[in-house]
Amino acid sequence: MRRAGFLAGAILTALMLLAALVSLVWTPWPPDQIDMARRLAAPGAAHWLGCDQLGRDVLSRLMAGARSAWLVGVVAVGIGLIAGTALGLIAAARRGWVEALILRASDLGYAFPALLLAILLAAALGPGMTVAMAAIGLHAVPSFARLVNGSAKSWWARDFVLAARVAGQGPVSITLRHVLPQLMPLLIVQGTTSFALAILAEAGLSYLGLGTQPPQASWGRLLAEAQTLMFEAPQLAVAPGVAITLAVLGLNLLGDGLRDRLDPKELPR
Amino acid sequence: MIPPAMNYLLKRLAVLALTLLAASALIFGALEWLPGNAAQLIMGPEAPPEAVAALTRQLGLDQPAWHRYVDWLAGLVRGDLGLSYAYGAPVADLIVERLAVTVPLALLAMVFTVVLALAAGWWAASQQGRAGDHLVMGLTQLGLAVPSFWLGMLLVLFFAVKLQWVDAGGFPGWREDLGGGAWPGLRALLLPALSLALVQAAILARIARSALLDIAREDFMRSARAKGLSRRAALWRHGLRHAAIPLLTLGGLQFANLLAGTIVIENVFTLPGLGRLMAQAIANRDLIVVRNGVMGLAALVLVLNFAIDLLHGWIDPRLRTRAVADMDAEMDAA
Repeated sequence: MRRAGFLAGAILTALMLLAALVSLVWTPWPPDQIDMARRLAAPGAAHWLGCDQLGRDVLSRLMAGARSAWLVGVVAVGIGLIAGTALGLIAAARRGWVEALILRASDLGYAFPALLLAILLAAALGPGMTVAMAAIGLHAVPSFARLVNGSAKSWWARDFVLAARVAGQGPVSITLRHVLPQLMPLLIVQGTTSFALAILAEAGLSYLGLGTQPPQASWGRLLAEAQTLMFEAPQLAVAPGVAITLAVLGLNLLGDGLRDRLDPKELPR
Repeated sequence: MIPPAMNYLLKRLAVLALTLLAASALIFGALEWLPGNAAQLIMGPEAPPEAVAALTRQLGLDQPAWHRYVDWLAGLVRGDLGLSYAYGAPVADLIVERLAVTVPLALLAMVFTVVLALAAGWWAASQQGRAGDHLVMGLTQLGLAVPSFWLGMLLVLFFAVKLQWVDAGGFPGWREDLGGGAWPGLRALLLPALSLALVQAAILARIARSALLDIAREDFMRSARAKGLSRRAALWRHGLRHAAIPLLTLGGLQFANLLAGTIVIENVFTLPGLGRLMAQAIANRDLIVVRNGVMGLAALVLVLNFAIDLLHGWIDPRLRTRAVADMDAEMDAA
């Protein structure tokens, strides 16, 4: 059962990555090609998922949307992972007021859901993909910092780290050579789950018009466009939502499977 | 000598006040960072320079930043948040008016979340390892992956477009003399609350299930079974009560998520709540509304977390002394 979940997660994630990569070089139709003759065409042999209100091929736009989702996800998780891990490691190595400051600041971060951050940034800088990346990434920093801090502290208490300290290694060297490598399984699992959250958040922000801007396709935008045609062409509201759900489901299942696989005993809490 | 409970409360209050202050500085700073002149941005590039200059003075933008920050804080304390540029109305009135939709929506969603999650978690735990358990766990896995705004759209498609049982969106208001009322208002919030709750309930149900499974191993549960209660009945009569405290605490934290979630859902169902106000404020470049709206929501989340901390300390007095010791250590270190 668990094995099946892991396999399903890996396949779904690979499919989504494949769709995003293939869309860079090929889509069934050009995703932005407007053709009013095909306006709201029903799904058929030429257009598997039909066409939208401007006659654009829905499948092609979905594939291009996968690209936006991956791009935002990778950059956002990158920001959260790098900044959060660095802060967590510093807090664990320095302790004292540095740790207190970092932990209190991350508490403050919890008061700002990604959506509120995006609203702030969009008001200041104007909506766009960069705002979505920054907001989702910044929001992920506190959880990475807290998680890394907790785990790193328990590694700092281990005998082999103590031995390295006795041998005269400094905190930077110990952190990089002995503590960080132990955190890899934890970071991989957390990174996968954060990616799932990032895709959900990107969809929400783009739906509100705060994220990816036209003409770039994004799953959230596709849904926002479909909503205005709810009575005329309800089928348009189905495919983008299914794509988001499958992508997030795949990443969550993959994350759960990785957590089981990467020896939970080595993940001190 | 201050009694320990008082000491705990005072220290928590101090932390809350400092965090609120830090949040306000962050919000002010982020909007201050804005490239160019805010007045120009609000009025658009074609506005005549005299009008821009007048708005600059009206918004107090000719004052230094720290001056405006202190003014804003003083206004927050007095409840005077300034005028909305787009609506020409006091921002405080706008926000209070919109909260009359957002808060009931979040509360209704919370009720749905807790009821659904406890029922599903209890059912799954009582069926552990069997088909019912797998079904609930599979559904919650799906619930974690579905975006709530898409769920909202699907509910509209089914109940409003296909069955035509409810309106696709909009809000009649709470006042009967203006064509609304308690029941019509509540009816308009049903689908939005359900789309928020189904997603949050998936998270809470998984935790309820594992909390109940932990409790099922306790001695008193074995005694209950020995008295002849079925597993399901024992979990219902004794398990839920013991799991309720940690679950309600977690549910409280989820309330913060629900408040943020209302921003998107209000836009799906065109409900005149705080979220819709903020989305429109961004489109209108109404920065004063954005600043105060974000501050309001962040403050709600922080105060909620504060209340949950207190609740924790009240339920389990050991936490009070431990938390105070932690805070003392942190303050000493600082």
